[in-house]
Parts: sequence; C-alpha cells; structure tokens
Amino acid sequence: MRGSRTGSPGLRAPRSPDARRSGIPAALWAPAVLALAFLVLPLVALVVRVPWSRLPELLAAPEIATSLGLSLGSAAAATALSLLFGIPLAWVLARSAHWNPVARRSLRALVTVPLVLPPVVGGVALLLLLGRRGLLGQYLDAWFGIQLPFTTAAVVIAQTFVAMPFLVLAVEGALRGADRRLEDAAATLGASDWFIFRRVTLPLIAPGVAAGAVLCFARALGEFGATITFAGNFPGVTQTMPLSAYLALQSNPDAAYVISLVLLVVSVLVLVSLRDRWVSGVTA
Amino acid sequence: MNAAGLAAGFTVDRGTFRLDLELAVPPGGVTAIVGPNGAGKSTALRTIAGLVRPSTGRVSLAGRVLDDAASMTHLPPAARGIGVVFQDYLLFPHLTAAENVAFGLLAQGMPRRDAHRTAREWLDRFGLSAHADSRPGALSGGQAQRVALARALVLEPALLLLDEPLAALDAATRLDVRADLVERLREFGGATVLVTHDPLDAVVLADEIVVLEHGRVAQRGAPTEVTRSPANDYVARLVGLHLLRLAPTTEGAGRGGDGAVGGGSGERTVVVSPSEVRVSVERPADAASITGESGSATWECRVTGVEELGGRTRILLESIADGHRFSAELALRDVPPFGYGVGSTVWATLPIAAHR
Repeated sequence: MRGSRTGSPGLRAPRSPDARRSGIPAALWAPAVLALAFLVLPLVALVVRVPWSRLPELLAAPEIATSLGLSLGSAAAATALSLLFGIPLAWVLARSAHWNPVARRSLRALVTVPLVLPPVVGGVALLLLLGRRGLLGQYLDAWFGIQLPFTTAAVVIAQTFVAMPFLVLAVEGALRGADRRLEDAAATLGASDWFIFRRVTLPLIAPGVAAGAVLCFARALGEFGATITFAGNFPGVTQTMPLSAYLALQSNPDAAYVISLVLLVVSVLVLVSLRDRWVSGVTA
Repeated sequence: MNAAGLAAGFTVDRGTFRLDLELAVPPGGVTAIVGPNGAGKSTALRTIAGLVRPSTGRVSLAGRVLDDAASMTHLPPAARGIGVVFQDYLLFPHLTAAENVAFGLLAQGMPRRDAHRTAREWLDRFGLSAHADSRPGALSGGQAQRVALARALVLEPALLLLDEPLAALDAATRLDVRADLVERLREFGGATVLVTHDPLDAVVLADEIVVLEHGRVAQRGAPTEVTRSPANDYVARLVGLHLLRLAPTTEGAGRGGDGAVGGGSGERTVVVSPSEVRVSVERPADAASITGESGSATWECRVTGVEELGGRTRILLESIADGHRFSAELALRDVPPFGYGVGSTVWATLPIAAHR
C-alpha cells in the first residue's frame, strides 16, 4: 500500500483539499491517534516527572557520572570494534552475489540473528562461549589467565554482539548502492585491490558507514539484557546507564529519571544526526 | 601478428551470446568498433581491458601477452598498462579533477607531490587548469570527458580504450569535443580502440572501422570504404552517413545558402549524419555562417522524397544552391503534419565537423 502511494510522485493528484479525498477511513482515525498517544505519552510523562530543579546536582552525582562515562566509553569501543570487523563482513556479504544462494542466505541469516535474538539469550550464549567454563573461555583462562565475564571488556563484547549487525547491514546496503564500475575504472589505472578499497570504495560508502556507526552506537548505548547477563552489574566496572537506571528506580527514583532523560536525549540526537546523514548521503 | 600494437583474437561467451572478434591496431592507429546496442561492443572493450576473461583466443599488446585462454594466462586490469575512458567517464566523485588525474600515478607508487604536479601539467595541456580543484559534479560534460582522457593518458599507456566517448554529451558540445578528441588522438602515440553506436564518431575519429553485429564482424575497413560500399543492408543503415564535398564559399554566396561553409581554405569533406540534420519550413532564426573548424550551415533545399523507416521519417533533400543531395532523419513526432511534401522548399541546417 505504501509503495503504491509513494512510488509515483509524478502521478500524484494536485495538493488541494477538494481535489482528492484524504483516503483515510474514519474508523482508522481513532486507533491511529491512540497508537500515537501510546508511543508519545510515556516520554511526555518522563519529561514531566524529571526533577528539573535538581538536574545539575543529580547529573554531577558520582554514580551517574560514572555510569555515563562507562556507557559512552564502552559504546564507543563497541562501535570501533564493529567498524573494524563489521565493514569487512559487510563487504563479503555485499560481494557474495555470485555465491551459491543457500550459502549466501545462510550467511545473511547468521548476521541477522543477533538483531532478533532476545539480548538475554545473547548474554547466556556469550557466557557459554567466553565464560570460565565456556567453549573458548576455559582455554583463555587456562592458557592466558584471561577471565572475561564481569569485566568492562565483557560489556564491550556484549554490546558489540548486539550492535554490530546494525552496522553490517547499513554498510552492506551502501556497498550494494555504490557504483562498482568506479572500482573497474580504478583497476584500469593500475590500483591494487587494497588501494581501491581505501581510496575509492570506502570514501564512496562513507555516508552509509557513518549512518551504520550511529545506529550501532545507539544500540550499544541502550544495551541491557546481554550486558547484565554476561558482564553483571558492578558499579564503575560494568554498570552502564541502562543498568543503573533500572537499579536506581528502587533506591533513588530521581536519579533513574535523570539517567532515562539523558538516554532519551542521546536517542533524539541520534535520530537527528541520522536524518542529516541520509540527506547528505543522497545529495553528495 | 602485429608485435608493436594491439593484437587480439578472441571469443567471449555470455549465455547464448558469443562475441568473436579479431583486432590488430598499430601504434598511432585508431580502430572504431561500431554496432547497435547488444552487438558486443562493450564486452569487446572490457575483455581487452582485462575486466572480462575471453573464452578462447589471446590478446597481446606491444609484444606482451595479456590473455591466452589456452595457457590460462590472464593479466588483471591493473597490470595491463591500458588506459580506459569509460562511458559516463566514471570520474571519482569524491576527488577533484587533479586528484582524479593523479589517482593512477599514486596507485603506481609515485610520491604525492610529483603525482599532483604531473596531474596539473596534464590538466594545463588539456585546457583545464581553471578546473583542477573542481569536483566532477561541477564539470560540464566536455570538461569531464577531457579529465577522464587526461586520467587515462597521464599513465602513458600503450593502448587507449574509449567506450562511447561522446554519447554522454548533448548535441551542442558534441561537435567541439569530437574535434578536440581528434587532436588528442593525433598527439597520442599509442594504439586506440574506440567503441561507439554513432557511425559519425567512427568516421571522424578512426582510420579503421569494424562493424559488429550480433557478436560478429559484419564489415571492416577504412571509413571511406565502409561508407562508400557497405557490405550489407545492416551496415548501410548503420553508417547511413553523407560525405559531402564542400567548395569554399564566400560570405553570402549561393542563392539559398546563407551558410558559408569553410574558412576560405579550399575544398574540404564533411561528414553528416542524417539524424543530425534539422529541417524547418521557415528560415531558422539562428541560421549562421561558419568561420572556424566546426559549426553549422543552413541551406535552402527542395524535398525530393519522403520515406518512412521504423518510427522515423527520412526526408530526401537537394540543395537549391549547389545540388548537394543528402537526407534528414526525423523522429515521427518531430515531423509537422504539413509541409515537407515532395517538391516543397525547406531549410536544412547541417552541423559541420572537420573530417580528417
């Protein structure tokens, strides 16, 4: 339905209220308004309930400052890891067109799983892989003395697990949209594959990479389930903002509201920056 | 086999389509591959460039084997030393004109400073110094074409491939860019293969024409041979061109010809494609005489015949002033419902390009 409405702007009727019925049956108005209210009112309630007068004082409180710093740092690290490993994975996905279809679809499904998997399940799975008795974790412990669970590194790993697919899919889309003939042109100029990737492909998909990184960062920042399962809830070490908001709700509700407000502001910023990215990506 | 230039004989299979082509182009030679869409022209260029592997046969350049299907030899595009100007030019949109030209030099390891200096020298030679720092999006079609040509030639390739070098241009700039390209190719010492669907480009630019039809060579030869004696109906229709011999005309001479052709430098031959001839019942307001290398000339003509051919109308014309016979091909929608009857008098405007 949406496609038929937006697909042919050239055929659209004149923009006059009389020329064309609105096309929305009256029976749909009420549920539509309810749905919108359902989405918006909780956020209104949050903004209304925030103790605005005590905001600076609460923001400066050590537990909030600590979890804010931890959240920003770990989400930035998770985004960096996702860029480092996710761009090559996106590249393989985008260039797998000539693969056997079963292999191609399986690969794509594997990348998408963390998107739909309940994060807690992801946390449990990470424990079973990297925990002290885990599939790999036992060797990490025995050979190197490395224990990942319940460390800040575990926070970053949990966030990367849930957030990287966002980046991979965004970059893959950008790669599919990029004109591969430009890579042919670069090859005829004597450029190696690596030179072409760095000097042609990557700059061309930069808007897509930026959008993917922003999405990835937002998802990492809000990560709760996998983090609390795999990394636990230790203030200053693994207690990120979503975790401290949840816990503060019982002991110090005002702090919980402030943390929630911070996360809401970050989300709105992400939305705004994404819109700009998309727009610049189209016009560049 | 020609050791110095390009020597190629190969087939490429694409599903049920097979391209079968032999080419020998000496240094300094220009071969044009002409044919309709789907004849295999672009596949031919992509194979020589190394972007497509031939099914059988071999390609060698300056004595170096680039492809040999029998021995599974295949040099990747980056190792071939072949310059390619692609259709739509494919300039890197995120780089300036100078950075585009420097790209190949940098890719081959030239220090940044030297690469950029060399790139700017080439842009100067191509009359583009004012646009060195422009992005491709800010260049006109003709400028983009010259940047693409500079980007390919700066590496001093032994072979230059041009894929529809003029197709992306509008009719007005086409004439100038074509004349400019003639000069550039004359300066370039290597072999050139160009692909075009426009026989006019082929006749003006090339010294050998290869007509491709359904992946096979329908005819090959010098432009004058091909245009004078087309091997079959298809080639005749394809090259349906006029080679007109124009006498030097002084300003305003001829009863009907306002267009004074030539700069007074004596008789010369011009090539005109019927699809480029404009016809009008009234004398066009912009009818102008020409003085330089190229331009247009307006002639008063008598209509000697009207033919319908597959969605187009061909109007046979004879100039009243000097009896030149040629024809104009118009899309049906451009033909007015009145006029253009046999015996009527019309004005024909011909673009005039230098023919070497």
